[in-house]
Amino acid sequence: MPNIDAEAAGAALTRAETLQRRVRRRSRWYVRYLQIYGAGAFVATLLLGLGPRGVAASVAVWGAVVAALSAYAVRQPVSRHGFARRHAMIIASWAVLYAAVLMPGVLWFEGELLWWLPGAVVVSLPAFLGARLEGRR
Amino acid sequence: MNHPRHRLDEVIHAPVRFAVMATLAAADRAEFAFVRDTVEITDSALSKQVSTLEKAGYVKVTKGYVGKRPRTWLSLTPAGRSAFASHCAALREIVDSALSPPA
Repeated sequence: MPNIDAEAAGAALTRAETLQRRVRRRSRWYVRYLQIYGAGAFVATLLLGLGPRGVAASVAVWGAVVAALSAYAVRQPVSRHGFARRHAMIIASWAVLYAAVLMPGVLWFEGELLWWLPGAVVVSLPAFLGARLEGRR
Repeated sequence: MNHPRHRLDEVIHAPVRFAVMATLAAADRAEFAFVRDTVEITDSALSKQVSTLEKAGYVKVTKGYVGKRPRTWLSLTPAGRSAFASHCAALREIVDSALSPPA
């Protein structure tokens, strides 16, 4: 059975908190990731409203953003506890909102900035809100 | 048998293993090199302690590649997370019991 006095127990808990602070600090790359994801989602959605040339530009922009972010994420040495669950929630929210803006937009609002601009804001919200919450943790 | 020291985990109690567990408790997963640098030990020392924690069922080791470079990731298993939480709770009780001794 381990034996330990109160002073050593307190020192161990302090050490744990110090190490965990380092992990949280090094996991802040995810804030930048979400900010870039949100900006990319905004631009890519807005471009969809500009007609056929806009669709091609949107696909190119979104493809480049996703490829760059994937390369960035896979090189990070640590992700904070709960990262996978939070990331899945953000991506699922983005996907639902993207579909909700894209479907009616393509069918009825092609070229209408009054649809695509607010739509782009809505689609980018999950990532921007996620970045804000992640920055506060 | 009521004293909280009876609830300390012998595997986690060793200082280096405690540090490894504390680091991994804050992470979904972490690269071997990150844990080594954070805990400030050598590769071989970390390998040895991780092996002990893995045998206890507390740590999961995953190997893979980033591009062409091999990488090793460490993470806590649900049992490891639970054991570390219990160990820390016992440590807190020991601290608290010293601050407020029984009347």
